[in-house]
Amino acid sequence: MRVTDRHRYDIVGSRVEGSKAQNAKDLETLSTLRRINKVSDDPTGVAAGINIKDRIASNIQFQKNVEFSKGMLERSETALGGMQENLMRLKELAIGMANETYDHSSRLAASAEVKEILKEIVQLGNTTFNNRYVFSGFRSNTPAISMDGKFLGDDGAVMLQVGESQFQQISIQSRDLFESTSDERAAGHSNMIDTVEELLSGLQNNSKDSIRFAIGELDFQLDKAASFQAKVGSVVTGLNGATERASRNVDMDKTTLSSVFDADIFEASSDFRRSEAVLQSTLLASTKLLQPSLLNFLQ
Amino acid sequence: MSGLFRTLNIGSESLSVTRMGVDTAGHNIANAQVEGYSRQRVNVKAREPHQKGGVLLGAGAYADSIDRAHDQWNEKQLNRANQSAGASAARLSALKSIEGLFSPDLQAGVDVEITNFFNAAQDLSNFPDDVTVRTSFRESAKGLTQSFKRVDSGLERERLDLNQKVAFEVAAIDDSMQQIARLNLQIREQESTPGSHANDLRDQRDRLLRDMTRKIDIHYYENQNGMLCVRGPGDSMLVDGVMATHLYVQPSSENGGLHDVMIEGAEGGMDFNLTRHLDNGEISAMMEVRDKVIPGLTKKNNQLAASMTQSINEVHRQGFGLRGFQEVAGRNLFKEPGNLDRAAAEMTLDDAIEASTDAISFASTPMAVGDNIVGNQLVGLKESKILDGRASFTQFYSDMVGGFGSQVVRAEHVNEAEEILVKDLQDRRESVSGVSLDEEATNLMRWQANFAASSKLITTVDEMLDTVLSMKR
Repeated sequence: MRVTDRHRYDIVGSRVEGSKAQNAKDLETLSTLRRINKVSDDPTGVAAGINIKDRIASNIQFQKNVEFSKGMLERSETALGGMQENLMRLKELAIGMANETYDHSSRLAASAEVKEILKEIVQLGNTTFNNRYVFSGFRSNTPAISMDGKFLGDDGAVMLQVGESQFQQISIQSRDLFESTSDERAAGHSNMIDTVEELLSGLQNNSKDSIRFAIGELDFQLDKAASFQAKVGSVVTGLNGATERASRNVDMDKTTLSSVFDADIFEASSDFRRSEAVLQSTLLASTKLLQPSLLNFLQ
Repeated sequence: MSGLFRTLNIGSESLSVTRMGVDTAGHNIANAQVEGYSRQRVNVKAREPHQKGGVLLGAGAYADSIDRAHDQWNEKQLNRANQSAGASAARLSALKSIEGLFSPDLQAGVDVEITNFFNAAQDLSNFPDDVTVRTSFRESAKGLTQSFKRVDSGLERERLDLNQKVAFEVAAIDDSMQQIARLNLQIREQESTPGSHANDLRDQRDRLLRDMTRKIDIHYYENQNGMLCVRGPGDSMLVDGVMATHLYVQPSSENGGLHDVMIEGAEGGMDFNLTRHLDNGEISAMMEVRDKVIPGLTKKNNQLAASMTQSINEVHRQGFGLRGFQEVAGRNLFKEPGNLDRAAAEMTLDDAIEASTDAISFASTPMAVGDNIVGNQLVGLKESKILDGRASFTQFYSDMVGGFGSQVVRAEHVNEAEEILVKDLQDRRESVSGVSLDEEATNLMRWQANFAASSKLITTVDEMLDTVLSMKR
């Protein structure tokens, strides 16, 4: 092949350009430590990355949701625990006051404490979390129960997403806690506040029978509150599983994302070294290639 | 006597040929770096011998012509390869400039905004009655509409840019056509004297032709007068000898006012629309990206925007808001697109939502501030395979970006292959037509020696003449 001068300059030009381009690309990889900086660097990787990034953001959001739900549930749980304590105290009082040894005046004195406890139970029923009444269902800006024991909430179940296609109920529908169902009424039970009121009137009216009846009813209410608390507990356990799952998903997805997008630092730096060496030797070879010409010997 | 003068003549003619050789070597050296220049050679021929005394006596040499080193076959191959290379390069560069719209580095790409929107919806589901959260939900909805608009207007801008480029290229082709016609005339004039070759003008004409083949698909041949005839797409005649028609662009009535490539009709004939006949070269690739690739992406962007608008609205309409909006359902979150083909550009928040965050409707029952059932349904849309029943919003977007990215990669590979082919042919052309300075240096030495020898011939004849003249004494 006949080699012309333009051809030699062209070769030098394209070789230097080529190795410079490779070197610049390696430099970009090394300085961003990312394998993909443009869609065309790896279209499948970019497409997968979009979905993975979305999943990571979702799972982080799920964790946030769970944290919020847990706060709300813990508040409900504490309130239910408080109710049980109060009911227990009432039961103790009732058992004591049902005793023959107490007279009307001691019972009247006890009724004052019962009144206080009644207020406290109502207050516990109207517990709030972030300005929301936790037992009110969807009517979260209205108290769950009135002073006379009427349930003011609704049956709304607040659900939150805690995983992919997984919604979890985070509020307990508390109508049955504060109101008695028709079955319960048929069995002669009344609601929580009425039970306390009954005890109160028994004490005020010095009626041992009413007090004794109230003891049984208090047991019934205690069981109910305990069973609601258990419900909340199981939801929390479920949530713990969900948050664990979400954080595991985030970890896994981040690993995948990193393997798709991030450059191997050792590979990147050795690639850069290599292309730098190639560039230098290309430049060196180019000066050698361009120098000799017959014209140099024709002096 | 006449014999000696004849010999003197041989010497002087040899000197003149020698000088031509030196001039040509000099011309070659001077043009060594000129693009498209073909090295020239003095075609020296021996003169017809004379019959003298029964023998044929050589009569020296003369310069018959100056030829250029040129391989027509290679030139044809190069021009053909150039057409595909031009197309692939133009396609790649057009796609590359669109690529930025979908860069994975974008902080406010459609994918990011979709994620943000649904996360904001989840936050609002957590705190349906919190004003700050409601506001941030509205902002993220606005961000979503803007990201769709950004893609839409970005694509439109690329489309108009390409349209403008087509106009420039067509003007450049038209210019080349006129120049070729002019060169045709000049070449014919210069070559009317037998033995003269218009090498430099032919080089210029070849170069114009080569530039043209990158831009548009053409066929050409040289007629008996050495004039080039160029046929364009759809068998149109672009240059016929000294005549060239005109190429120009004209807003198309069918294609939303984008340019059509038109050719002027010959002698009062109708102008002809070439657009549909273009199938190679830069212009056809630009038009393909302008009329197929970009509208395809725009369509998908609109499809996604429309689908999001409609499905989100459908859910949102079931919901009740807060305060002034707590008893009335049936509101849209986004304005329903008037034209589905412009859903991305027209995507905006509903006026009521824009006016008050209370209009955001997440409750399934009236007057229930804590109700987030509709909100959860809205959140659930994120995972639903809504588009064509097989892809969620994010998946659809990622398919779109991945698909486009593959197009870019394919274009890169095709372009690489085409350029290698062209490079190879250019190397071959260069090896035939290019100037080697070493070679020219050798030529100079050769002609220098020749010059010395020819001069010696003349001085020798001179001395001989002296001898002859001195014989008289």
